[in-house]
Amino acid sequence: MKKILLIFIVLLYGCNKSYFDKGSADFYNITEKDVVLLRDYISYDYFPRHDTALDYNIEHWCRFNKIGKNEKFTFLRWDDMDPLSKSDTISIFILDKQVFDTTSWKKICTDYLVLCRYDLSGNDIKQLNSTIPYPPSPAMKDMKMYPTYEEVIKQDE
Amino acid sequence: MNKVVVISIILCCLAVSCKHLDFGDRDDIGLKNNSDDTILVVATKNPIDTLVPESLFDYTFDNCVPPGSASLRLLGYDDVSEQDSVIFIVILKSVFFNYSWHEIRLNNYISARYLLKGYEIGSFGGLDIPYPPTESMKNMNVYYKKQSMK
Repeated sequence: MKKILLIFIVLLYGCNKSYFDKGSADFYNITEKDVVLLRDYISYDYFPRHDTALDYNIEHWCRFNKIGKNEKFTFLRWDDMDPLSKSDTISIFILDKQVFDTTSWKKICTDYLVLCRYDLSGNDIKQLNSTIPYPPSPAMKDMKMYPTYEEVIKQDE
Repeated sequence: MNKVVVISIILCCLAVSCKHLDFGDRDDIGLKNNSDDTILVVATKNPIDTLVPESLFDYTFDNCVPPGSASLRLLGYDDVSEQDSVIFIVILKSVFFNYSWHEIRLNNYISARYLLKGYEIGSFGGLDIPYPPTESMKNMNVYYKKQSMK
């Protein structure tokens, strides 16, 4: 009986332990320009959309976030990350702030005016030590993104 | 030495006279959307003008306040004294969708603008400030456009 209880407690502890070592994830804008970052809402009831389109409906997005040049921003907090497992995917969209200010949301969505989109799994976030750089680092070259890693690097040169 | 004491006393009196708003448990100021439209709201303290800011990110904002909802916390009561001015600018979601921020600013495509003194914000008793404006706001500096922008 004691053994069963002990196994139960160990399993319970194991289930509750977060997959991520760090309780948050940061986005790091290493460029010389301001960018705007978007991501989906995440909750236990509403997992990230598996859709890489830009949703016209701004209700589907979290707050728009401006990230200055060479700035870090915590885009996932512990209560966002808890529902995420290593296999879930979260898409984050990076826009040029100048484009954001001078273009309607309709045109941004229709013409897909993103600098870059990352489709990151929990495993990817963990691999990057919970700090996601833009432009992408060499460690990200096999991770899912749009445009491709090579194209993103080229556009930033 | 006497001068230092006098100046210190005067400074203390001034500090005390800048009375900040206090509503017990409530420590923040927000807008309540009682309309049928989803809105976007920007806010700042002591604005240099009443124009839409050059960028959405120049002010505190909530980019999505659905009907019946309260906005995110825009300012803290601790940050606002009774004599401060706070501006709230409301833009319809449909306008934000169809026009760039620069166009919205250039053409003043706003639904409402409130320019409120701290004591006027205090008159709401710690509750969210209503949008559209209510009868109780008729003597406040409020601009409200009833027609929706399409």
